[in-house]
Amino acid sequence: MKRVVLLSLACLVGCAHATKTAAVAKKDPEAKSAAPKNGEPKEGEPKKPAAVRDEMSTSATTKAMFKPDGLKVMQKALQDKKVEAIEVTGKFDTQTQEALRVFQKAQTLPDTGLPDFETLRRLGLEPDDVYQPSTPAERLGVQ
Amino acid sequence: MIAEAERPVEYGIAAAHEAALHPPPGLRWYRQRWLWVLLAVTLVVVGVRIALNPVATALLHRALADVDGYEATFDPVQVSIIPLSMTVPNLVVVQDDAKGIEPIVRVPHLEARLRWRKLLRGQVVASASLERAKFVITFGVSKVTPQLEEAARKGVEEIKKNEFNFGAILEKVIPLRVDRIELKDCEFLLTDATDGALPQFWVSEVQLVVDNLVTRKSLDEDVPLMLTMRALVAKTGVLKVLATANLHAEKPAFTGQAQLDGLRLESLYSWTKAKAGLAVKGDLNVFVNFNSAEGKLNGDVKVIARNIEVDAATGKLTDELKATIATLAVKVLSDRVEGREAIATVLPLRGTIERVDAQIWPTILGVIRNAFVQALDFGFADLPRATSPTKEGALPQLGKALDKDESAPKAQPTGGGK
Repeated sequence: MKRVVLLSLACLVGCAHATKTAAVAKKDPEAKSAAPKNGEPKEGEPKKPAAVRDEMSTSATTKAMFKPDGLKVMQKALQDKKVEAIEVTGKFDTQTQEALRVFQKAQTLPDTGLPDFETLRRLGLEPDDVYQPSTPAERLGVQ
Repeated sequence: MIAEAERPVEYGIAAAHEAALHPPPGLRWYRQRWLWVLLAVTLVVVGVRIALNPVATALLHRALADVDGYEATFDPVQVSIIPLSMTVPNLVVVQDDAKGIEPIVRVPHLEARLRWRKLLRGQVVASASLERAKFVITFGVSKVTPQLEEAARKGVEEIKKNEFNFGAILEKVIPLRVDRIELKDCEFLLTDATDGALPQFWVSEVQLVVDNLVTRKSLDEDVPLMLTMRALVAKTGVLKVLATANLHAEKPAFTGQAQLDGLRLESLYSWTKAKAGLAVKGDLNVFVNFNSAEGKLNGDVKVIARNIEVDAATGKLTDELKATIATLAVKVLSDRVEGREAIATVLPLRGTIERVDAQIWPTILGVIRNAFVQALDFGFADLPRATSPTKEGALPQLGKALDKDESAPKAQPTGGGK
């Protein structure tokens, strides 16, 4: 028990020291470790809100699951169905997912908001209109 | 036929009697034979239709009775000819030696279908759908069947010897295409029975679709297996998974991403209290990217924990100390970006599917860089993380992590492959 208390106190002291260092580092504009961070305002500027929330984008590898125009084709099909007002962006963004969810709910399909094969068929598309015939891992390899 | 039918009216009742008793030679024999055939076919169809449901129910009872360690009950099965399908209502599976514990599976509606058109061409194309199913997994109580346990043991041995060939295993299964497996509005309850407080964890509103699961490459219709999923974790975090795979190679190839968005840590109170004696507030966001082919694996797990507050869940001194230390650590390591105050990093996973190397140094340096140099972006935009061409020591990595002009800490090469 004694050892636990001592160890905890040591950690507390360590953390407090680290906090101080961090605070000092932040004040010193020359120090590399205190360089302005993403979204952090320069001196005198008002603070900006938190980093913009990414709209369920895709990673570089997942993007390669889709055919180059696959997402646009799907968005156009969603537009034609007039389920939701949707813009053709070619991106797998929130509006596309929400439109897919609304469409899936209307069709009593599992509403994942993600394009499964049956959803695509009911949009009048074939899976290979949107998806590549093989996985990105096979096509592009793994580094 | 019309003339035949009208004859009794035309000739009167006596004439009809005469015609029935003494039909013209040749016509009498044929008429009787067709009547009998028609009657027999009708009887067979009606008999089969009547017997189909009880027979299917009995067959399913027998099949489920063979599963060791579990007891299954369900309402009478309904079989449909067009479309060819079988519906199992109210399937409940209970673990034999876990009396008093909730059923491990409860499925109000399970439906399996076969496609007639494909069946007539000699292909078995099936699909299955589960609606409002509830799965209960109790750590320390739930167990797998002996058959599954044995299969898992063999699989682990083969992986260790690097002899695991998934494509070859699939070739042993009958040629089959499972067109679609879907879970609609299902939920999973995970309980830790090894802990006296029985902490619980819910994954609810599960919507899951697996498309194109085939046992032969030739059956896949030029699209790979696809998995899409959306669920609610601990009633607060939205989980989305999008993945694709080819299971026919010696080492399966797969690519995908998973995102857990906005999981409120206070919804995990029973776990944090039971395991650490702490009450944690804040929200957790996790982004996972994975890619694997020919045995090589490249994955990244980005964790962003925002607005974290830690308190002791009990009045114990040790818990109070732990909470104080954690609060200080959060204060030091958060990025102090207004509105998020996030602790964030990326954990690179490299190596092979048999031996995954979770890289600790880039992860720790990621936390430091996020806190003092550059806040980590939200989302998948910067995934996957680059891998350094040559292996670097901890100090050079630290130097780069603290340099704003350098990119985020890179994953370290590990080799690997087939």
